[in-house]
Amino acid sequence: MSLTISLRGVTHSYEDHLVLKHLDLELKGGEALAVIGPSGSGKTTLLSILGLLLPPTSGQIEVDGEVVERRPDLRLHLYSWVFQTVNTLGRRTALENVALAALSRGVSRKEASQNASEALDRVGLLDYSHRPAYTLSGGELQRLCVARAIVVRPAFVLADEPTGQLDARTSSKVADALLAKRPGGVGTVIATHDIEIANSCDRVLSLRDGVLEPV
Amino acid sequence: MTGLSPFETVREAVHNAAAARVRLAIQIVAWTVMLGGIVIAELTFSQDLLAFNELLDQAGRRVLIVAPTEGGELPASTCAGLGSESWVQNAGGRSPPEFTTLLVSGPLRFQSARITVGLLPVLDPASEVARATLVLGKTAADELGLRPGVPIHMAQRPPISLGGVIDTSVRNEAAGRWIFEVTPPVGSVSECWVEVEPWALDDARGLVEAAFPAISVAARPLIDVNQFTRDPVVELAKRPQRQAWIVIGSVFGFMGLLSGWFRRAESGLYAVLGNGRRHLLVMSQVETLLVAYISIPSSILWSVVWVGWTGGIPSADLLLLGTRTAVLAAAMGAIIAPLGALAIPLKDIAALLKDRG
Repeated sequence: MSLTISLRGVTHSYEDHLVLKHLDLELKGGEALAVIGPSGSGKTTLLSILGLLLPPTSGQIEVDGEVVERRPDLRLHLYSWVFQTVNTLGRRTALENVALAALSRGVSRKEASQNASEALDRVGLLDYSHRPAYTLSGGELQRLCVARAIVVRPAFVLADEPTGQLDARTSSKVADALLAKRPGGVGTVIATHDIEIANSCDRVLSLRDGVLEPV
Repeated sequence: MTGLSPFETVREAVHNAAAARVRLAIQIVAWTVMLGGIVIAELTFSQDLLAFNELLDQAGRRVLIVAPTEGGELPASTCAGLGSESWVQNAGGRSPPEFTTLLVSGPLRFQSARITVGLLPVLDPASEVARATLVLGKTAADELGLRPGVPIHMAQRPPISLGGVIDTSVRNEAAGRWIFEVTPPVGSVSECWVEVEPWALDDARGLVEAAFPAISVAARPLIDVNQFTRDPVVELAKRPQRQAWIVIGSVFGFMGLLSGWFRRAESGLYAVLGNGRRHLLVMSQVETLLVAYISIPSSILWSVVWVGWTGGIPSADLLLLGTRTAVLAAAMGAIIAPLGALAIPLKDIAALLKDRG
């Protein structure tokens, strides 16, 4: 049975500034959703609430119909993140960076290493496994972050403007890694300005003035 | 349960340290230089104090002479028994001096005393005479040309072999011409000499007097340190560099906190992968301990080389003092430095990851 995550009447404000207005959203396991919108429209806030990093001012989040609060264990079980700014352990190898995510979920070192190799292979970085992260280019680093996100087979990868700092050619490689190369059953939610990437997703929503609308 | 296992947490820290060799090397060099600095300060400025302290110890600053306050004598067994107390180094008694005639190319009168065996190392700390029936002061032995093993002829007594010679010139110059008859601790003695352990010096007088509950006794020190203008123990306790470890330890701690701040994006990464403050604290602690373990011996080594090159080889006591200071500073740094990992707000992980420090 497929996983369903729902936002019900979610509102969020920073002091007096209302960012999200009574949003309703339903995500099916394995689907790829793009959220587009101008800077400051609340895409990151939406992803943070969806990813259980930020509790909404009002409204609720349901997983398979059950209301959930901010729970780190559930957050880690459901989601992995890819951020606009690449964050890696620069001096550690690509393989170690990816395996770290699996090790942090209690996987044995041997299995973590195998899974990490597989994830690096998916994003086309297997040949760079033993290179320190700092020697990789920006696009390669972002693909490394995608590999680190998918290695633990989360329900959803939440990607917050993952190609925001990349050129068009590199962006398409990262998008390919996030969408086409992701393992079966892993869903993706991408907050992006890039229409091409958005069009590669199963569904595209626009966030404007705190309201979500289909595109 | 989320995050790395304890074993993997430690392993992660070691791998992080090994991967960032330049950072590790800079930390080790900085720690070594600063620790070495305070060790050198200890070795240089405490040298004369320790030497003076050693001189006073040799002179008998830790020796107390116990005698009855109203005449009479002390039980020899109680006096000798003090030697087995943990706070006593050596203890032994002696009878009042008498006169004994030695037949050495003619009769010569010498002062003599019966002593228990524990008094020998109190009178002469370098003495190797462990058990003998007749011992001679070094001055008398030198003047008469006597050495251990030669037969001694005393008036109205059978000849006896000289068991040993002790040098009392430092602690009791007059006894250099005495003849000591070492007897078992039975009967009574007129004085009990007790040398206490260094750590028991402050309480020694009370402890010694309490050891003779049935008799009113008074304990007086063999030498009165008040006659000197300097007291090395007090000076050591008040030396300015004694608190340098707090300063250096704080500097290490501050360096650690600063490093934690600059590495906050790394902390955010570990956090987003499911590791909490506990993991960050352990990793930071392991990295700091690695630096400390390498820095302590290397700082002591280079400070000994430095002091040896500029002055002389430091004594074992001095090295111990320097090592203690270095370890204290390193321990303080190792406790404070990892707290940087706790100071990082993990609530807004996304913001932390975007923050490149």
